[in-house]
Amino acid sequence: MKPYPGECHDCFYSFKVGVFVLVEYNGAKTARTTINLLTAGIQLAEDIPNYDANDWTYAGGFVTEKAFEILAFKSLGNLENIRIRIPIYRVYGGVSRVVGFSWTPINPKLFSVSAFRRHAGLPNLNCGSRYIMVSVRIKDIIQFRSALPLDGNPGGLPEFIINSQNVNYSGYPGIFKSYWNK
Amino acid sequence: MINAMKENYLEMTVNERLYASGLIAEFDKAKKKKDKEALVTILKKIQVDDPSIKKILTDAGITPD
Repeated sequence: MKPYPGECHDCFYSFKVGVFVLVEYNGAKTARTTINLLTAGIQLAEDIPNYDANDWTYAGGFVTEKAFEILAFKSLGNLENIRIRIPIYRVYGGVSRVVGFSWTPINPKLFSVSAFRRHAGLPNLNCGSRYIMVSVRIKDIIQFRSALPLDGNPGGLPEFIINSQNVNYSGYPGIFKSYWNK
Repeated sequence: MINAMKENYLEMTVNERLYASGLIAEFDKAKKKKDKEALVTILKKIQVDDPSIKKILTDAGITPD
């Protein structure tokens, strides 16, 4: 059985190292320092053995890279002044609706439907048949968390808590695409 | 209102339920203090299934019964 990103110890080791470094140096509060550390963190993630050969490891590396990206933006401080938008995704279907507080920076297409549902900790009633890609300002991300286990799905993927009212739907006409069934 | 929210929980992830219920800060506090009783109470309030509660406790470094 292939490991899923939550079990990829190399990925999470590099992630933890990167977080530690960012936190330790956050006192400097300079963008240059943060960006250099971000680059170093991503480099750590890319040094994972078999990065290209194993798609699960690739996904783990992608998670790590995105996490560093967000941490770097967060650590820049003065989020009110940062208008940078990042793409976010929400997988829904069944009784789960397109609006909600749960979003992820990870492109669901890196996973199969069942794998995404597992690692995102989706409930049984969310069949994950559809997804939406929109954008959000960094400052509107309420929390950055790891998906928790639910209904037999182990979780582990990064999860953003965002108020749907702050999501920019307007720039994406035709966003309600069929997901894997496209 | 509460009943409507409870029904809605079933379509949400655990983090989403914690935020929607207003229990997210309490959850984080209990997790930090490794307060098993408080964590179980919170997770049951938001209708998390027992096996998932056990996994969350284990991941938090707490031994479930």
